[in-house]
Amino acid sequence: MKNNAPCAWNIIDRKTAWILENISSDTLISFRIRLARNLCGFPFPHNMTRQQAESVEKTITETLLSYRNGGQEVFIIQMNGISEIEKGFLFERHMISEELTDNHLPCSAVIFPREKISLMINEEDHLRIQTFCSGILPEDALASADKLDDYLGYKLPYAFSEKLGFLTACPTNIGTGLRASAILHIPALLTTGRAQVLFKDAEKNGTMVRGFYGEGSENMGGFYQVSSKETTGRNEKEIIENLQIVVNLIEKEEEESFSLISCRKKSAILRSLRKILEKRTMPSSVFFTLFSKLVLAKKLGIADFDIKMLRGLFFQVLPYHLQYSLGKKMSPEKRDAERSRIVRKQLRSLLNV
Amino acid sequence: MNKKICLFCGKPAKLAVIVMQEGKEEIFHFCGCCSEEGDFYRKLESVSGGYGKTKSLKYCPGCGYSYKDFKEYRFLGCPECYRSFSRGVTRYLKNIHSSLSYKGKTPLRHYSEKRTRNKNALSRKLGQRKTE
Repeated sequence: MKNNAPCAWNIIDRKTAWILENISSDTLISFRIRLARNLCGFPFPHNMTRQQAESVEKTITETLLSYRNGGQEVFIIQMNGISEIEKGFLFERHMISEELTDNHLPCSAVIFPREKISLMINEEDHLRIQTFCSGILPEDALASADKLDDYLGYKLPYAFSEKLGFLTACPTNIGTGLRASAILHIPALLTTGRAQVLFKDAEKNGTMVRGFYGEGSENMGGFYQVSSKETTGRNEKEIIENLQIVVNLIEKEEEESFSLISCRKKSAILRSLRKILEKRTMPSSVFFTLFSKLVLAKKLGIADFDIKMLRGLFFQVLPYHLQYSLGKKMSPEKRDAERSRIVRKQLRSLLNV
Repeated sequence: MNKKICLFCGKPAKLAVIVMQEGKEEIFHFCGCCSEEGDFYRKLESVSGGYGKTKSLKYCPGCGYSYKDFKEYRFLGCPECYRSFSRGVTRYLKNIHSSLSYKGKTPLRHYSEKRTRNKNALSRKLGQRKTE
């Protein structure tokens, strides 16, 4: 925390907790809209000099500062001014991508906590606008992305072609530059083995299924990100509506899957819960599995605990969140031991299930 | 973005050719060797998009990025690359997208810039008529 006062980080911590506020209760955890934009007259970030990157960063941040949507607070975080743990913390909150954490050029993250907006400057494109909403109403996320995008599109010279749409560094994002995605938690579908069939259907219907942290990440404990595939040929609203149809179908199937879980499987869930809780070391992937089994047990009515406590626990034990709260860098082994200690302490009562 | 490089070979440019098309001026740069080659004018036509041909440059005049790099990494160097490598890029876009017809929003600034451009073109035409 070299450039940023600790109190600012406490505010960011508190005010971005909405990202996973439905994590222990709903199938659809959050919905995200991402817009990719670039400025005319500058090479794309991968082809930029340091000076050009600084110039783009300055131009965009100055314009953003003049965007006072009702005088709400805005956090501008320069990536080269924060520690690896703080970068990881923002990544685990879905505020920034993994690519931005690895970028060596001047780059920034800008967060409007109240509006649920985060922006990345000099990631793969000059500007990535992300808006979120927890649970349903993706139209709200699109409206808030549109409002900011219209303002920036008026003030800044966006790279735009009437024929192709918004021009992006990677041609896969050309057109609307919009990627809509939904984070889903489907432990019941995984237990019944229906998930893979549904994913194939989802892929046929113009969506992609990825891990919890998007592109390149693995599935952990039934957490998936379902995203729109095409960025052109349809307008923004149509892209979102198509994703929503797929998400609604998965949600419905997940609800129906609970009734298909047999008594034998229920006992197996309890046995594996106890087995995981008895261990003195707990890697992240095992925690995700434990989390999913706990949600499943609660929804099936075979275990009783406070669901809010489980949500708090989720954030507490993510690798970078753990190091952030303890204020020190830790080896993976130490993190796994500490995670196990915290989880066992919180879920002590469940050891006797 | 102000590198003056030869569009054929990427070496430092010595010659600038200004091409007027649809009322818009475009400047193309070439090195001494390439500009002295026998088929220079034929090549110039292909890069400037003369007679309605689509462009197929080897290097983008906007940023110096090469078409070879685009083919290898599938990334473009700058927004101008879409015009510089338009033939190859369009072919690639048709492969990765089921439709290329753009139906999304238009940035507000684009409307106002287009209006100014049209206004200027109109006043230029009117000025020409008066002098005739």
